[in-house]
Amino acid sequence: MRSKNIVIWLLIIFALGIGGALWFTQANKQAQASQNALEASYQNHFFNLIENTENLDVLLGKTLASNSERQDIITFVTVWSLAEAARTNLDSMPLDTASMMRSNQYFAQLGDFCYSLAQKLAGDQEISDKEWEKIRELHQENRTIHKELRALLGLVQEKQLRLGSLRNMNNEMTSESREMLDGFGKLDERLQNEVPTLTYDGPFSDHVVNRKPRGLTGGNINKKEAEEIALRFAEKINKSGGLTAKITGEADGRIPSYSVTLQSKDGVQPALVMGISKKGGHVVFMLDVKEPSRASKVSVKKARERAEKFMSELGLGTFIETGHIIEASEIFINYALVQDNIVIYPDMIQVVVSLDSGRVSAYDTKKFLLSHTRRNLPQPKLTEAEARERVNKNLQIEDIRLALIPLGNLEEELTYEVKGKIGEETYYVYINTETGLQEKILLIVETPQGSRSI
Amino acid sequence: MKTKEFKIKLSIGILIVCFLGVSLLFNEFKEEEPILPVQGQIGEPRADDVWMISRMVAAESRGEPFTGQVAVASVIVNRVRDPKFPGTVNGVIYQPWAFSPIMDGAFWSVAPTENHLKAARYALNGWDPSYGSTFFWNPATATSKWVWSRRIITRIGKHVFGI
Repeated sequence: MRSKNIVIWLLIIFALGIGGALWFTQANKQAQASQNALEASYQNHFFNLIENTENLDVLLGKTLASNSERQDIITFVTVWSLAEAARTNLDSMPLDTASMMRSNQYFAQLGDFCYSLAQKLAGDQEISDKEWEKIRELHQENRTIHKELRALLGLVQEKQLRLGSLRNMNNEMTSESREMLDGFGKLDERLQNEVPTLTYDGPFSDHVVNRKPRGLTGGNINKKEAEEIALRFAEKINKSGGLTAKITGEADGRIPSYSVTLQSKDGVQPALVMGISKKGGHVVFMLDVKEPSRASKVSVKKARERAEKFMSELGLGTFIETGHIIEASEIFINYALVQDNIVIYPDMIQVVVSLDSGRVSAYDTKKFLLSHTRRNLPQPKLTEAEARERVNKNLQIEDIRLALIPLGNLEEELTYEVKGKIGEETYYVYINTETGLQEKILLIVETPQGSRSI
Repeated sequence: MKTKEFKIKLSIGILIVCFLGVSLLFNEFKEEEPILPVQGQIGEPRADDVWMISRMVAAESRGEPFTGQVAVASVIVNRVRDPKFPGTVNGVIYQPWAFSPIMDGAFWSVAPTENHLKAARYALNGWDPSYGSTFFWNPATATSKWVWSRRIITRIGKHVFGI
């Protein structure tokens, strides 16, 4: 009896052992397959990165040899899409963030710059000698990058380096993986030192990335004043009485600011957080930190009226609503400044009204502070009637008004904003008042939550 | 003999229980948490961005004040607009080794709260308590010394924000 018992137990242990071993082998195989699939994906991106830089080299060379502006437009737009693809390849490899920031910027700017040249050509403008010189430099730079990447690929092809080994939890590294990481690091450093700043008409241009705020008027304020400004602002949204203000931090960004937290003494009222600019004491943003509720007790109409009243009491000028969107139980409303009956789109302010309490619960004026200034707007050369002639014949025009729109390069253009329909879809078309050229088209998507323009 | 039969039955029983236990254990890994309703149609691409950013906020800023949560969300948004980083929200979030919640899988297992969703929405709408930062780190747990070479913009809760 005893021995039989032992046999049974041994059998059980044996079965469990076999099962465990089978499971382990299976799991191990699975883990290896996953790792290999990941490695394949990394290498796929590496090979694509090299192929893309190779094609970029060819295309940049062709623009230098070409004498057809029409073809140049196509080539420059292709450069833009290949440069963006190269950036995606680079970002999909397991490198150090530190050692790929400049390389990323290089590809982003190369594409963006060439796109701006394509736009120039499409707008019947000439590419300057200086800009051709930039293309020559970028062409040379691209060739060097390609050479360096090829050399690094040798580590994968000849020394069986796996890209997956470049990063690991315990920072253990073979000499090959060290070499690969250093290679990318050196490439990045060289770009940092050699490639000059690029100023052109695009959103990634250095002058756009490093823009200075235009609307920060006034002298510097101290902490005490910042607290007082915050308290006065709270009164505007009916949050007065029993509030205490405290500086909870400072920020040293594009708009140097104090962070002010407002707390009710009884602790019942939720706290507000505000950013107050050190220069001029402008409220940069305001946030109600209360957890949002799902309840909607206030109508959209009432909420918009509340926001309108709030905007008129700010004393920053006349504003017009340019759109709103409902998210959870809050309505986000966009306002643009109106000057001389012209909608100034760059000078935007956002207001949020809670559909639960009907109160203004958030406010953001960063865009306004960055761009606002008193502008000397030109008289439109084009008449309204002429602008109507310039839009697509299929567009059923519903409305037309003057609007100043921001371009990607911080410049602004006075346009006629033509609102119209093609079938069920609403479009905004912008016609330059100077040249009569179409500057931009926006599609308006109506959703139950509001409209979005894309 | 009855006891012997009983013992065999018992051992088979134990085996089955063990087997069930093990498979239950595996099922637990596969168990899906309820995902918040997300609709993405043309014109609403941000629904996906809110989904992604709110998960990162939930994983990265547990116990942080709401402003700190919006700041973490805005670091992601600021990266998207910065030519030094990937150009899309998913590009920034899934960049290999960029965020620890992706590496340890917390990104997929967290349950974002209403506040996390709100933080993501506010950052996507332009609110930025990080004042343009593209990095954040917790001085108590940061493993990389390199982050300290960045220019510090502000501090909120336990996090340092910089560019």
